[in-house]
Amino acid sequence: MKRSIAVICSLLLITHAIVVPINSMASQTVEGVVKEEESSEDDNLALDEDGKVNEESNEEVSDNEEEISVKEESVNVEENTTEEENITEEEDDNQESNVIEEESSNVEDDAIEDESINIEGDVTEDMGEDLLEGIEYENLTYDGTIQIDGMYSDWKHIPHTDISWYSPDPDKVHQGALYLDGDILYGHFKMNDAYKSQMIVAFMELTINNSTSVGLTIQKGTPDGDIDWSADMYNLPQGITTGLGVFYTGYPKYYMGESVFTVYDSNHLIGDEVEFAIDLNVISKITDIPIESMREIKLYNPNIGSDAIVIAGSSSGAVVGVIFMTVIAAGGVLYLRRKRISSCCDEK
Amino acid sequence: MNWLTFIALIIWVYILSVLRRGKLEFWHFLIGSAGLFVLFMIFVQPLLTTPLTKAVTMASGSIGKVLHLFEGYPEYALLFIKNKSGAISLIVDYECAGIIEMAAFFSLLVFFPVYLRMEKVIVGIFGGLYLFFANVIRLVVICVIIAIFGNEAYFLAHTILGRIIFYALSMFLYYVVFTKAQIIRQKVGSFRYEDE
Repeated sequence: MKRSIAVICSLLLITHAIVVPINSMASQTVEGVVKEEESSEDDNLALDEDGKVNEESNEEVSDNEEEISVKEESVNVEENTTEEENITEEEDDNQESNVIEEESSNVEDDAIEDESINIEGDVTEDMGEDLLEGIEYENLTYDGTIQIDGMYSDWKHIPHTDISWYSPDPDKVHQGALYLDGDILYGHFKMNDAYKSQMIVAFMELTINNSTSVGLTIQKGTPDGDIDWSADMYNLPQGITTGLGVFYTGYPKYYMGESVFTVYDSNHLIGDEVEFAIDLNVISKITDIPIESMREIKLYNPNIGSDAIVIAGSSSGAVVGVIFMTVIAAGGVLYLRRKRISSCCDEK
Repeated sequence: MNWLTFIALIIWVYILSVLRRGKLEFWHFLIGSAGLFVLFMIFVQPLLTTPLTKAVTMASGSIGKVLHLFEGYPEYALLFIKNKSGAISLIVDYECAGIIEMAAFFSLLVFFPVYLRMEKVIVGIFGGLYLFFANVIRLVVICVIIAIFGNEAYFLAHTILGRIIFYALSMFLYYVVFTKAQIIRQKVGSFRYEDE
């Protein structure tokens, strides 16, 4: 008895000793992959978390152009005072300086608009935090592999599904992916650059086990947790729009999680991206399907394509299987033992 | 380990000692294997789940890569299958990694009186590897069926065919390890084992 206890305890200790370093090595894999991608993308980053890089670059561009326009104005003034030239040339110079001034003023206006957008973004971040108040599922996106922050490098190595409305060109399709981390379902859509229009996320459909569907919409929220229908989700500004949420389209308007929408270019020459989180506890509440019973989850965005993103579990049915096999094994013992006894008795 | 678990462990060990002294072999086997399974799930399963899921994903993904039918992403424990009706991502979590089956097998084996101690260690190692590869075969079969027949075949592939294959392979293991060994090694007459 003492030996068996000692053997059991030593086996447990050995497994602990072997598994802990293996687990730490295994858990480093995702972090290492993400860190490598982040370091390789430093030169190509167009937007950081607050859009400050874009804002700063716009400001620098506007500053540079202001300097150029100022210089050209001073050059024009000197030309007017020191030399007498043809009126057409002066007019051309003035026209050029006016054009440059107009361009610089337009860039200034854009920069101001971007600032206001980012200011609004900061406000919507606060609103997003307000939305989470009173909701029991706080910090839906912290401490996970995916962060809802408008930076999409964490989606780099997750496989994406091609989505389109029967596009004949395989290079002109949108991309979508789902990732399940515990009870939180993360989603990501990226528009193809060829379409040059804003991605619409006003309606999506989440289907559980191919039977129960839930309508979702990504909208701006009000402080009381309702949808702000006055916000124009069809003309989002350039930059990262935070403070969005995933809502149930039915009644009541359950809030399911955060969302962030990124418009890289006002003319959508670069495809928009959106990432969001959906708390499956809310889905379970709406559909009365326990999370453990959600075998297959399908997300469909009809605004960008007919293809749905599908994520499924691959449970082996362990409990039922173990019971089944134990019963079979024990039954087999009884049967074969009786057979052997009876054959021995027959021989005697 | 909290104090409640520690007390339960002490009680379990005491009950086993009582059953051993009372020569109640069946109850000793039953309570011992059940208790060890619970201990395994409490202490060992959280540590083994992540590396096991990654290993299963890596092994399955390697086969899928050779077949050019699906891909494995061990860092995310995902199997990604592209097919005619789109694509599907299969999550390999602790229910899919075979950790529960391995825990049950080891728990039953440790308290199975037929084998000698060293035999238990060797049978346990080979049985664990067998269950690992049986799970890999199950996942590969599921992925191949979905890759060929589309997402609509998911229910048939996963719930029926994959489980039938895994249960059949596991039943064979249980038959060889427990049933056949029991029958071969026991003596008819007064019930005793070969090593007694």
